[in-house]
Amino acid sequence: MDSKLLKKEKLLPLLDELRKEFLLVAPVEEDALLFYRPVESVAEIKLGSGRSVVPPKEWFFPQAESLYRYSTEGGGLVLEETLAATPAVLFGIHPCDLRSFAVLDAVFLQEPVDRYYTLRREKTVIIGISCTAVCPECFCSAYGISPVEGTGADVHLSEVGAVYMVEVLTPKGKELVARYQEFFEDQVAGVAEAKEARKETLSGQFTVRVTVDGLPAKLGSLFDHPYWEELSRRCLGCGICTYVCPTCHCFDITDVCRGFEGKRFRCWDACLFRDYTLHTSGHNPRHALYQRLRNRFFHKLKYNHDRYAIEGCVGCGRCVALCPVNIDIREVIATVRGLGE
Amino acid sequence: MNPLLPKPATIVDIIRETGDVKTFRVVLDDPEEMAAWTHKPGQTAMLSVFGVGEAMFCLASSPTCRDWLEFSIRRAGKVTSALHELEPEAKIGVRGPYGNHFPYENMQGKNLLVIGGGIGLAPLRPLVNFMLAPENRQHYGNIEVIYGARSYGDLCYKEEVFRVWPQAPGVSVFTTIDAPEEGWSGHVGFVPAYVEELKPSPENKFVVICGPPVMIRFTLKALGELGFEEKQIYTTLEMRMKCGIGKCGRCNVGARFVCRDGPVFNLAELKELPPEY
Amino acid sequence: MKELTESLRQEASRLLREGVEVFIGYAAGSLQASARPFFATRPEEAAELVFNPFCVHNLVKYLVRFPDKRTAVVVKGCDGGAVSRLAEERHLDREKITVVGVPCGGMLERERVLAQLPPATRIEAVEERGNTYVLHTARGEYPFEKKANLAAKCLVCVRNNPVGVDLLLGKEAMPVADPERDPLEGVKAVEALPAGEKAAFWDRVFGRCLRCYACREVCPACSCTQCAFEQAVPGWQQGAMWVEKAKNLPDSYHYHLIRAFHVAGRCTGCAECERVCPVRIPLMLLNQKLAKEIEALFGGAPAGACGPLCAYAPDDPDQFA
Repeated sequence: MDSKLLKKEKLLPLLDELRKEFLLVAPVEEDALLFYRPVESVAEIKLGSGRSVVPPKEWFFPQAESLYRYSTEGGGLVLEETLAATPAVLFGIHPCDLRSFAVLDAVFLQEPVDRYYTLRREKTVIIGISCTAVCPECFCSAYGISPVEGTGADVHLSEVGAVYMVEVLTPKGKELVARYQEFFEDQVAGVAEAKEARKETLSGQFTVRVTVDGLPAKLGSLFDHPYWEELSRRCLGCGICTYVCPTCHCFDITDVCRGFEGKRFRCWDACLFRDYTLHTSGHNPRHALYQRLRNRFFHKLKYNHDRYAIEGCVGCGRCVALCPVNIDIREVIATVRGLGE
Repeated sequence: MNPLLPKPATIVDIIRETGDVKTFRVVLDDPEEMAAWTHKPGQTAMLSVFGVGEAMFCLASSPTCRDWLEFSIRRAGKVTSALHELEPEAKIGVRGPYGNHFPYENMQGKNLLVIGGGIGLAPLRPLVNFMLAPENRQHYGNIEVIYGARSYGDLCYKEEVFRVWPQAPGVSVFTTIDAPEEGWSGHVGFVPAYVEELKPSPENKFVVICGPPVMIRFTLKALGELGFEEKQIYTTLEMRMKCGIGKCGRCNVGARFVCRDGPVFNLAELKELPPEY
Repeated sequence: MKELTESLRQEASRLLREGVEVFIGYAAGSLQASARPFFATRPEEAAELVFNPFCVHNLVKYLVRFPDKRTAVVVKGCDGGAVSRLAEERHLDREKITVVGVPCGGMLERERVLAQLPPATRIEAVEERGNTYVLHTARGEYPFEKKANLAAKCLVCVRNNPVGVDLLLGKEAMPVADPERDPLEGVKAVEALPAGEKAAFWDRVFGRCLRCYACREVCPACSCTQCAFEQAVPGWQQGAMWVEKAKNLPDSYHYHLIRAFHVAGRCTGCAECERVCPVRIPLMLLNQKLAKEIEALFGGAPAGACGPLCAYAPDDPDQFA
């Protein structure tokens, strides 16, 4: 791995240069909320370590996207793919969200490969950024993620005093740094050590220690436990936890059609919704809210592990922070580990 | 190759099976794609009615039929109703085939018991016709078909059930309807009771079963009492599906996706899964 | 607040012993300065109940989930209206429910509290001292003056003491509302915007709607057993699609306006829709705007508990124009 330095005052000028060549997607603030959005000017970018409401998965797997257009004029049928991806730089991705891309890759890059996701993924260079603070809901450490880790990024920045330590992690990252080499300087002694020290400090800031050892197997024995019904009593059955989850990948496919012209879309869907698994016959395999809530936790904490050998949760804390009735996955994990069978 | 993009296809014929079931004969518009299409008994495909939506159906035609694909569809929801409105020459979309299949390889040298209820015969039919194809017949033993529906009018594939299959060597077909009706001289009663009556032997045999959940439940009980083992009995699951390729998430039963890891499961496998199907 | 919590626990325990099957109240949350809905089914579980200025949730809609059970529910003044509304619409059998009222001096805006408390400081007790809440922690006392720290809806609230309850606990709460402050100031501010800015404002807030439907799920006036937006239900509305499921701006407008109109005249002002919204869409502006118009149009009309939009009187003098 290559390592460079970027002076803090050079970050925005670098991003400004990148903006000329790539579509630049970066954290922006709207009404005190953070979103990853394409920016037209680097002045829009919100630097710092806040957590976005909607995870950056949105860039690879948008909440709604057209799959193809069709025309049925004159009794015929013309189909036209609407695959499109511009070369982009996704800037300011935190370690938990970087890991989430690996979780989504396991789903979308598995054969048969999802072309829409893949194309965006291929055409995007990811610039990660280390956290400078740990939010009260964060628990990425439970999944072996460190708040200063760049795994999953092409280039990763860690703020150290007046500079960013730049880790060049992939061939894509190498190409980018080489192309904009005038912005970067050579690594100097002490910076890497300072970054390691930051890791130590941040590790002490997690408010809740979460251990997930043995969880998939343990859950296997708790499918019929009354805990799920108890937990679901306060659940609203809304889609917040799934829509703000960086690893949730469920979608629906629908038609939007006017006359002979139409588009087929896909859009996010949530396993907590009543009609998610409803059969045409009226039969619903998960008709009760507790079954749907249980499925969500099993998916995050067991099924994903069983199916893809990668944990389905990254400990970003979004669902913890945004659940209106305080269903806290950290507490669910701790409770489940303590339950008798 | 974009797996979510359907292939344009044309409905070439529509056969009315029952009051609410039609079989659609479909040909892919691109002759090369049609020639390249291969599926296995038990697999499914996604049909598109443009402007309405997509839905997953089992292939009802045998893989040995190279001229067209068949789908037997009961009018029930949005997409199926739209399909029922269509006439020959209409354009639809097809993508697939998806999922696993009945283990016809392991069934070589064995006898087969087919138990169907109503439109539940549709996913089993390709297996029967595949085994009856001249090039395959020698590899398989006797085939018994126990098939029931509410009334005579609700029995699908009458030509095959009453003429083609019974005339084929080594095939016996037992049909039943729920209640007596004029002109019906055959067996009357529910499928599970008929199974109990016929007492098929579990010897050297595989069972494939599909039909209404209640029929399956009681038939499995009957089969258990006759000494059939869970690994001998295969069924096919139905779930709400959107992508068909294991991405959209909704057809999961435990960690398995019915669209990819199913729809065919044996009873032993099903027992390992949460009862959410 | 200690006495109030104590009497709440005592009453809950008593009710659960005397035949109430589910007691719906609040328990401490897992996060700093938070509470959560809690369902006690056995008298000993009453010990987990709390009441403090973080008990912001309106618990009334949960009653709908227990149609066959004898229930009790804790309501603040602003939640109480939801019980009568749902009972009036026959979603609840009022006879089966014991409504336990708690006087409320206002709910603290959680974000303001977090901004002022050092991280990971456990709140040990909350004391209400006149116009201030004092949070007792291991690191000392943190006073929060109500005027500066209450949730917006509480600053204009005049329903501090619940009415129509079966059991009223605690001492009468003093109103916090500033009589000088116009409860509709937010609505009027948007009304006063030039058309272009008004459109930009709604484009911005609706543009970030996730269609998670939390506002619908939490709303005691969204009481339909099947919703116009649930499209996968076979045969429902003959397959009509009121909004596309695929998120887009026009359909998000459509969703929010339909939602607001469906609860018009029935919204009880608990502001839960706005609280639960993960992207902070100011939904109460819509609800208040409709309430304001209804008041202007039908304010003088006689209305039963279900409000002027569903009141019917044969001698209604108004003609259809």
